[in-house]
Amino acid sequence: MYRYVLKRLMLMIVIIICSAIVAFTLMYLAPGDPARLQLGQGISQAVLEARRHELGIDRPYIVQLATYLYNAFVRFDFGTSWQYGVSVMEELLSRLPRTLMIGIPAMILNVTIGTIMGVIAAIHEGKWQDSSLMLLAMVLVSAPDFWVALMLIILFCVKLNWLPSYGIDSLKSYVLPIICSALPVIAVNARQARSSMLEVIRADFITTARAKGQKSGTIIRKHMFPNALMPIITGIAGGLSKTVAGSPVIETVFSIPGVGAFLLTGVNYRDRPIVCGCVIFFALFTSIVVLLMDLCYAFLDPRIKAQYSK
Amino acid sequence: MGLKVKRPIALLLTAVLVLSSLSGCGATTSSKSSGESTSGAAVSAGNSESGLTESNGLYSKVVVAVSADMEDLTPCKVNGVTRSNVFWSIYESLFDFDEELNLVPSLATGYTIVSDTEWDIEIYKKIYDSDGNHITADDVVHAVEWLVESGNNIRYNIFASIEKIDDYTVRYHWKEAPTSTSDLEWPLTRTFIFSQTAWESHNFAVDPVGTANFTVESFVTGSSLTLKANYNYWAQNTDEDVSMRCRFHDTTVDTIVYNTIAEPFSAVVALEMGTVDFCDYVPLNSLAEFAEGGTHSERYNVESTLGTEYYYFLPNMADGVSGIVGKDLDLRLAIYYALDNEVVAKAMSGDNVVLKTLGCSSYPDHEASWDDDPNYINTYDVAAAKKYLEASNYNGEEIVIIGLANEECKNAMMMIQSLLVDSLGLNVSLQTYEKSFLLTVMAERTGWDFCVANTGGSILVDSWNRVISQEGNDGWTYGWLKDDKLQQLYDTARAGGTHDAEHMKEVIDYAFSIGCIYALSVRSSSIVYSKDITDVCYREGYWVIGASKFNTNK
Repeated sequence: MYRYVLKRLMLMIVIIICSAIVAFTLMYLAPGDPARLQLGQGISQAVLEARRHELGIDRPYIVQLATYLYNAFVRFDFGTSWQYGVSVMEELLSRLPRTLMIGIPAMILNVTIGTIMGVIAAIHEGKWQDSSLMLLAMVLVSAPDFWVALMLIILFCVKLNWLPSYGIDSLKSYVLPIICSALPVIAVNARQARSSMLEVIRADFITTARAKGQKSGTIIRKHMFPNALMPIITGIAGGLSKTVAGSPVIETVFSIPGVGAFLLTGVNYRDRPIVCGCVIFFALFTSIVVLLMDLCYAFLDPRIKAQYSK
Repeated sequence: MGLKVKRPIALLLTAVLVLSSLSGCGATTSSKSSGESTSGAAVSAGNSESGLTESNGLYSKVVVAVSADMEDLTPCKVNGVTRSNVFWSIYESLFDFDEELNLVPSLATGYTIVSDTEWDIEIYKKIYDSDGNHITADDVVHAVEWLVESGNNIRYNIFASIEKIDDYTVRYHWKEAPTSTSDLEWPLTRTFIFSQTAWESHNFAVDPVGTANFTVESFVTGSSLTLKANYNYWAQNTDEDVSMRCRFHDTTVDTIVYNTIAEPFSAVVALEMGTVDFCDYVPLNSLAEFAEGGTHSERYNVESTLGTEYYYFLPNMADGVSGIVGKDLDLRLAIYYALDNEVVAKAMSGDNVVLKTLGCSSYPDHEASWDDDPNYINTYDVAAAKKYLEASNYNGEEIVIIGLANEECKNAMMMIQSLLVDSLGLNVSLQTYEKSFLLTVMAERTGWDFCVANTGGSILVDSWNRVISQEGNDGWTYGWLKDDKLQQLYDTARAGGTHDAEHMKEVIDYAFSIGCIYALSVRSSSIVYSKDITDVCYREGYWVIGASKFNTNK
């Protein structure tokens, strides 16, 4: 097991370096001139060249890449944003709590509510509870988050005056963004949980448990749910990765300076330090989450644990 | 109590706890807002906390909605409109322009012309920044040289070098004698001066130290910037004569909060809720709510002004894609006469006002009579267009129009395409690009035939810099035109002694005679502001909140 974890950790380093190289190369190849974008129109070639030199983008690709990788992986310096003029790492870390303030509660909401909805729908398969919950899930998953955000703002801010419509002044500023982020994923999780539960419901060991006269609640709690957890955990892991990346749409609508909006600015302005820094950060986080997820599988399923031990 | 009973109770209690904490947020907000706001709408800071500061007579706090993040407060990043407003409250330059665009003292007391290419500029002797650092000639030299070295010396065309003469005097060396205000605009009025000591000990991107009448209290990138009145402002405490300085250095408010609200819809909601006092990007269809007779007219004023950035339709005078647009004047004239400018302006947005010549009345050097002079911009004549097309060498070649990838520009391009296809049967295709990429494509002589983009400036003749002057693109206009006569006319119209209506009209007439530019429309901007603001202060077309007048008798 330890060897497996060690192997995965080594692989993680390779993945992160590869991600950095891919992100850097894509930004290098992306059309558009960051220097011209910063300085605007009506400038001379000499000024443009001076700015390019200042940004270090006038050097050969390989030199730029090597310098970046050295700084990022040896000196742990992701560089200074061309647009913001601050350290990318510092800015990422200052924005991360705001993104997590939305992402983590949203994930808790969508996992709990989504799973409960899915379980109820599966238990009552084909009945009105199943139909209505899946209809609700369909509506939620179909509604664009931008539209949902506007509707919630109209209801809770304009009509009811309960919540602020923008900003990060207080905890209540995060309520609407959390709901907006959670709603579509609740629907996805509900459908996922339903299909997982339905697979388990038809399994032989459930029939055996019923034949032995076990109560319905016990069967669900002890036999069905643990066995249906695997895909749900996969969903949670995916959700965690997305949580860190944030949602540019939600953050823009509610004027929350999070990681998603930061990355969006980086892409719009061809700000290579921001984009590469974010990609490395996301790659690192996602790799860790995936590793933890695999370890969770091992704990839940002895067959997988046995494979890891080989 | 058995485990079977305890578990559900524990679960129930947890659920109640989570729900109550979530709903508790809303409940607190609601009760607080109803207590604080007369309209019952305020939730957070803003109108509800605004008012007078009794101690110093300044208005206490004004909240401004801004559409774009300030991103970086380093004193070279002045390209964005929002930034210009904010930067002028933090930093100062050597001179300012007054309403007639004359140079007036700011940090400098005045200038002495030593020779055609040498100007001595003396600064006040008792200038201190908000950190208490004394500003001397060394700091001026450092600030200017830093700007040049950092590659941000935009429009420093005639600047050669700067040297210190004594502690309070610097000498500017020009490459050639300055001939117009636009030559001096960037070196003297757009270059902010700051202390070298402060520069070395602060990260100006987030923690700037300037000499102006406001200091940065807090800055959260992407969210808000809070400025606080500088009570140690050097110009208020000095015994030197600062009476020549402009009004926009006055301080009338204690705290200014700039909140970034990217979505216009959210900004309108914030105004409706009373959490914002000032907003300059309310969509046209929402303006009626705040204007006279509107739902919120009791709390807000609306002021509309024409902007100083206009859209143009620029032909590529080099090869282009079609290979003929630049060479065939008849084809260009056919295209221009087939364009219904009013329809294009309406398609762009409800806020766009059609142009009738190469500029509009928002520029101080624009002459109203030019609008009435018939030209291909203010004349929509399909018959004339067809006649010119017949005389042209057009044989169905593809004409590629490029433009910015914003809604306004895309709508303009689609309408232009529709007009040209319907009236003349031209083969027109469209390509939109983000701003960064558009400039790169425009820099290619063969990638496009026409371009829809925007330009602007403090004065009209400056706004022609990109489309008429050959200086902006290393010997070419942005439309890849090299025309000595046009350049000569432009230089004359721009030069100090001959910058008048007659010479500008000569430029316009000549440009129209060779069909090298078509102006589309200018956006009218409307500001919505709290009735507590009695007079909005403007500087070169930009509002300056910190010097606006407030109702102090409330």
